Amino acid sequence: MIRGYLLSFLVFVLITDFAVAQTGCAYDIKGKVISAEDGKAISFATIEVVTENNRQALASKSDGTFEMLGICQKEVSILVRFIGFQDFEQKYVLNSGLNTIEIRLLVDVKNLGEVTIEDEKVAEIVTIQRSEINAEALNRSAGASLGEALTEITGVNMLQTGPTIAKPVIHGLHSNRILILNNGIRQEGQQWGQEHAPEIDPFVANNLRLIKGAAAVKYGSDAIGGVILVNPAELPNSPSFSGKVNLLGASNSRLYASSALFEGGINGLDGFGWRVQGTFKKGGDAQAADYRLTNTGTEEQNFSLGFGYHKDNLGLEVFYSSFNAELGVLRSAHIGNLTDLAIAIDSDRPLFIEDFSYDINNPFQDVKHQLLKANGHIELKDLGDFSIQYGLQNNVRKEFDIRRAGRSTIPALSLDLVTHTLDVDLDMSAKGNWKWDVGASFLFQVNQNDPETGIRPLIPDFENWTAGAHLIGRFIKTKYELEFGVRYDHRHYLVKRFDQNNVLQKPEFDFDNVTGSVGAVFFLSDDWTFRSNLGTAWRAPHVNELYSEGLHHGAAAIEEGNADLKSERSLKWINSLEKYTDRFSVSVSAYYNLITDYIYLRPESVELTIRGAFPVFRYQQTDALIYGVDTDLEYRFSDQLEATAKLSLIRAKDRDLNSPLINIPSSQLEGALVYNFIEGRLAKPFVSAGFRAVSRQGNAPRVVSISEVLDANNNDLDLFANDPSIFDFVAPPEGYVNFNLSGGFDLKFRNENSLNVFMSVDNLFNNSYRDYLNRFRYYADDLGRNVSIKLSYTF
Amino acid sequence: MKTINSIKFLSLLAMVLVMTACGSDDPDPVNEEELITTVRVTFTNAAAPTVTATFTDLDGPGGNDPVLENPTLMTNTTYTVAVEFLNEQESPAEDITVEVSEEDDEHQVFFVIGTGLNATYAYTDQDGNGNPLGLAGTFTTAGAGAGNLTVTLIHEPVKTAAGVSSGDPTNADGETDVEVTFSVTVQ
Repeated sequence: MIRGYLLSFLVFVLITDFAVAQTGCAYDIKGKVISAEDGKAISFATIEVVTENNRQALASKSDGTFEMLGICQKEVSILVRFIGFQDFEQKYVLNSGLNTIEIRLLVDVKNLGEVTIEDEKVAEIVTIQRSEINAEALNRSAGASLGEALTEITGVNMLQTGPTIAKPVIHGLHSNRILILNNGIRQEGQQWGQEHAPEIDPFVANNLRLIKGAAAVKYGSDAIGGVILVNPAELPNSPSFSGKVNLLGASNSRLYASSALFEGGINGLDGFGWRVQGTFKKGGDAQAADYRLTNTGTEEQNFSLGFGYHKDNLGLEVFYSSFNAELGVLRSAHIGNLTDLAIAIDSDRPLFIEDFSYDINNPFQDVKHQLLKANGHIELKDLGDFSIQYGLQNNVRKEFDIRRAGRSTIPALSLDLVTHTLDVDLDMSAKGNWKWDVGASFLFQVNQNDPETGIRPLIPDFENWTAGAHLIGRFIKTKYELEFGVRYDHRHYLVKRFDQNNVLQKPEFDFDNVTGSVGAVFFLSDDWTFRSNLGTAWRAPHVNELYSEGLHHGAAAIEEGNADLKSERSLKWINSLEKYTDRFSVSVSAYYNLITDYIYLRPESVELTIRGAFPVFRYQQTDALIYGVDTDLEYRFSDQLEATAKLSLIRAKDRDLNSPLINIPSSQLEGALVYNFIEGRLAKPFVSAGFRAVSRQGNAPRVVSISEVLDANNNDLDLFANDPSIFDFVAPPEGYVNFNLSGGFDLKFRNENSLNVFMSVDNLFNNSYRDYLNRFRYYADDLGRNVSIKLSYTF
Repeated sequence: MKTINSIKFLSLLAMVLVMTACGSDDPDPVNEEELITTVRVTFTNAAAPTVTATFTDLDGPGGNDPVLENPTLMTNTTYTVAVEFLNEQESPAEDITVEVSEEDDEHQVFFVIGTGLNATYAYTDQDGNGNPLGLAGTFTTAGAGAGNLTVTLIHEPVKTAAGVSSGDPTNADGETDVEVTFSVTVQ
């Protein structure tokens, strides 16, 4: 923040300096710096014009333009730098008089030209001005979990387990089918579980970026649905001190949270920078429109530390983060058997409703995630940028259940996952129109169950060894860019499990995969951009899919692993057309994702246990198809009034059985009208009114009721003989429309500090509704009205 | 070329470090203390032979099918009923009934009599709060008939809810730990 002001001040000084210094030489340059991604002007980019014996620097103006008059030499090279974009360098031979040039900066995302979307607009990455917008967008979702914050992006939904647990869903895929890169390291938690949310504090992030394509070539396995990049800001590299303090409160769960971040450089040690950050968050029982959702409290305590050195062509960084969360699980969702579930489904209201409380009782999850990262990069002359990063993660997940004889204090699930990752990458300097990137990655992972639970583990102990290498080529022209990539991966599992007689078995598995990708971006006339990418991705069956066994209480089903599973492979074609002007912006992207050997739970039989009958599901493979369209529109009627709309449509099916897949988002439309007041003492004052309409999932799996399952058991019928397709115990809930209001402003202080104030009301009319993607829709309504206020002080 | 070599070296070094530093120990098997494999209902009357009904699923949920032993009772007889919950994976079998009676206020056993079975059940025990527990009771048969008897153990029921103390689990809420259905013949 403060760096922003410093930079603009510096730029101002440079410009005035330059204006005074100019002489009567014969060459003039007028130009404009724009983003190659969306054609938008880039302001405050540093432009250096280098001649044989002179070097002049200036910055682009707010509309991206710059001019340098009276250059004395014919041959110049122009260097343009801006955070979030790749450095630009080109030699020019000038004509005498005026020379007009346009400089397109390439976004510094080493992807394959897939749609890169962040917060609300494409590629509004970390430019100085825009980082404010980004911080603002994150401020607005402050207090929300990562999964919740990401739903701002069209085509991203959340799969919830009550109000406390949200997982991001990209184009209908989630859990092991998406990849989260937290600070450049692949997040390795127990993400196979539908009720296991990502262990990341959004307050650490400066921006959230999403790649919707099958980006496995660059990032490795699992990126079938897409990749989420959680990026903190760059560390300072010069002596300074700045920071940010967030405070927020929300009415629904009486949530309060605070987060503070301080960063700076070190006097006398040029190039060094540091940052410390901490978050505390506490929420109580959430409120549906008509009742409390008992035991849905949360508590989070997170912190992170960063230290780095950045100078010229060299950078070194060490980063540590610790995430600690306790998440209450709706008491009424804790069921013992199908009879309990049937009673819960038949009841309009949850069975346990108590007065508001901050207490987190059983059942609850206690999750700790630590990340230690060390990375370095060096720019090698004529070769490119070589980087290496090592990550050590430790994920400890304990789930506490309601148990007999004082065992409620002993976790029912206790997993300890340690992951080492090592990535090396050489991003080669452009040679002519070609640019290459080559790299390799290694992962070693150990998962261990603590036998203290006294319960046979849901997922056995295992070791996972993975190694991969990739090569990506880019052919860059002004009007278009072509890209292609190949990758090879090998994964080895060593599983340590006990059979029914408690004899240790150590089966081993090997998976080899080659993935590839081709893509193109065309910068068309009239500022239209067209992108097309065809990519493949893969993932090995997870150990839970190979060896799950027994009753899954949350799902009221017996789930059985299948050791014969093969790798799942995806082929995703995504096309997008975008245009950004001062008046409007439009972006439409369509995708077609064909997944062969898609792994899913297929119902097989009904089995009697001491708790009564349960359906038995077994992991099987089929061919799945997911396709859809995401549309983003923005229209500015005037400087004050603008409208936004987002539409996402998605369809999914099992191609073998010609039946729907479960937990696929339904069609959604969001719209908002924003009124920006004229700035005065308050900067950026605005109010916004919007709605979110979610249709009923009309393409849901068939319904097999609990009484049908129980009858099948009583009468010894084979319920799935004629139709082995997926089923649900109840039909999807009705569609709904929720309205929201928000407003905010910035208060600038004379010392350049600022206070951002944001207020919002979600579910304005306290609508009672249930969402298809909330797994607790069987038990309770979704959240009622929520009024929140968020303050963010930057200095 | 020198750089390429150092890249190779660094990555190899890292791989070696990772390989030697880690490697997991073999796990210990879990001792499943809470598992209930067996429900045994004993019907006794001094003037009649003692009858036991059992439901046994030694390998827990999934795997092999459970084994049921259904009771045949005499007409017009009042039996004393005792229920036992056992973990027979342990040797000797662990008596889970002890845990249930220790936490008597958090548990209740229900006996739901299906159509065709001419009998009634009554609680003869109580928890610390004076509410029924259901480890002990009486089962009184009338005329001949046959039908289902569902024995349910509910953890954390709301014992004060309507009908619960008279043996109807409909409003009991809580979590079902055991639900077994016997086919009872009265002759």
